[in-house]
Amino acid sequence: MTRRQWIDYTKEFVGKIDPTRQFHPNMISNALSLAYENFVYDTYKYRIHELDSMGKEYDVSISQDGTSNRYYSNLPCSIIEIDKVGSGILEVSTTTGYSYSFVPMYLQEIKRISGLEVEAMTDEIGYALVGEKIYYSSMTTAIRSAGVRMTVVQQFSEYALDESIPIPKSQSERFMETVLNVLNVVRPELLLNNNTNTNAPRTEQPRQDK
Amino acid sequence: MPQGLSSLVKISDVVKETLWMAERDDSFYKRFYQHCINGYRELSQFHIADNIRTVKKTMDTNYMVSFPDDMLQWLKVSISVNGVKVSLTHKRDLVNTTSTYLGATVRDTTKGENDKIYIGGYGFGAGIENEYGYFIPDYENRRFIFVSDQRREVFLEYTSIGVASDSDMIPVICKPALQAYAMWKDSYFDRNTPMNDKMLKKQVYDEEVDKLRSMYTFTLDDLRDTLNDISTGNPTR
Repeated sequence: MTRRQWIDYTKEFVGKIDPTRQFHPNMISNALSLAYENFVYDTYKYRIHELDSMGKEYDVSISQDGTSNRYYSNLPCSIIEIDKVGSGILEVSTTTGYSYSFVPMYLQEIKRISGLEVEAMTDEIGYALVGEKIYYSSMTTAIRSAGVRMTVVQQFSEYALDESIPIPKSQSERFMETVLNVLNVVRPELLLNNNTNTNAPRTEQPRQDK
Repeated sequence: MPQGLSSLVKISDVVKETLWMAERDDSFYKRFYQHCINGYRELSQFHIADNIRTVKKTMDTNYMVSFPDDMLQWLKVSISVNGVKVSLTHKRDLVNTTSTYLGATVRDTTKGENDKIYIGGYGFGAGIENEYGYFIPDYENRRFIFVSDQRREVFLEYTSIGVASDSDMIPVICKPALQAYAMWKDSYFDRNTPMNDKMLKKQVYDEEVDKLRSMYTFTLDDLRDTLNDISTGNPTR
């Protein structure tokens, strides 16, 4: 389903339960974003084999900081933060394949291995996510000019309206449950008008006696 | 031949396999790589014989030879006599200083450097002479200092630091021990790992080392050759 379809579907879904239509479309959209974050995090924690299918690839250029001479890239989009080194960046590779591997590291680690044997012996390029930037260690001239390919899990709001949201088919219902939990639409019943259930759809509500 | 079907493997392949088996992500790659560098150094220094290297060096004008960069510990210094390596004697009281003359390093015989050694005879300094020469390692300046009239080419056998680049291959039989070492050290340095887990991993490493050492024990052929080497023939009755 596309992002637009998820928003419309949620609106319809909520509409049956919420006859007053109190949920603003932006609120639904935000709820979807929040639910998607939770969903991605759960996927990382409990179904990590499905995480790859939720990634999106970007070709990213590399710049050099004029003051510190460090090589860095800007994040291509807002990513979902995951409880792992490298956060929502699933993979970084060269644009031509896997001839060089990139490994996620802490910024502190990059500083600490400077001059160690492992730095001299390995070609693997370390990268550390700092805010909106990704800093590299041991960058080569060739890779710098070619740029890198980055696979990230991006925020729900970063997808275009007509772009498919990568949720595995078998998990759609679970995702919807998460959205509804975020919206907290299962409200306590309003015991008005002689215990009439006011949560019933609007067209079926009995007329109020005056 | 694809990697993995050879008797030699690269350290990086051992690291990748360990991470895969242990279900660790790539953020552990460099740390485990360093564990494996240290682990192979320990294995090669204390447990296996694959890492003994022999280089041929030529003495300079001062009868000195620099230590190889990758040398951890020298084992034997010898020269060739009739196609056989004959050990020079490690003489611990050899004068191991050098002097400077016109900006160059020299061994000044007037100061006792490279002086003729008096051995044999009676009284002070008496002893068995090694006619092929003597040497002393100068660890501070990372060099060997020789007194020899025979040959300038010496064979140096030593244990190396293990691996110096990722293209260096290591014996595949070391892989289980190396993986066990990496897993043990990873838990050893982790403050949150319980002590029993650390001890279990240490035990696994020790068992793998025992298995590895068994690969380098004497074979029956070695034993027969050694016995033949040290015994003289007796008449058969």
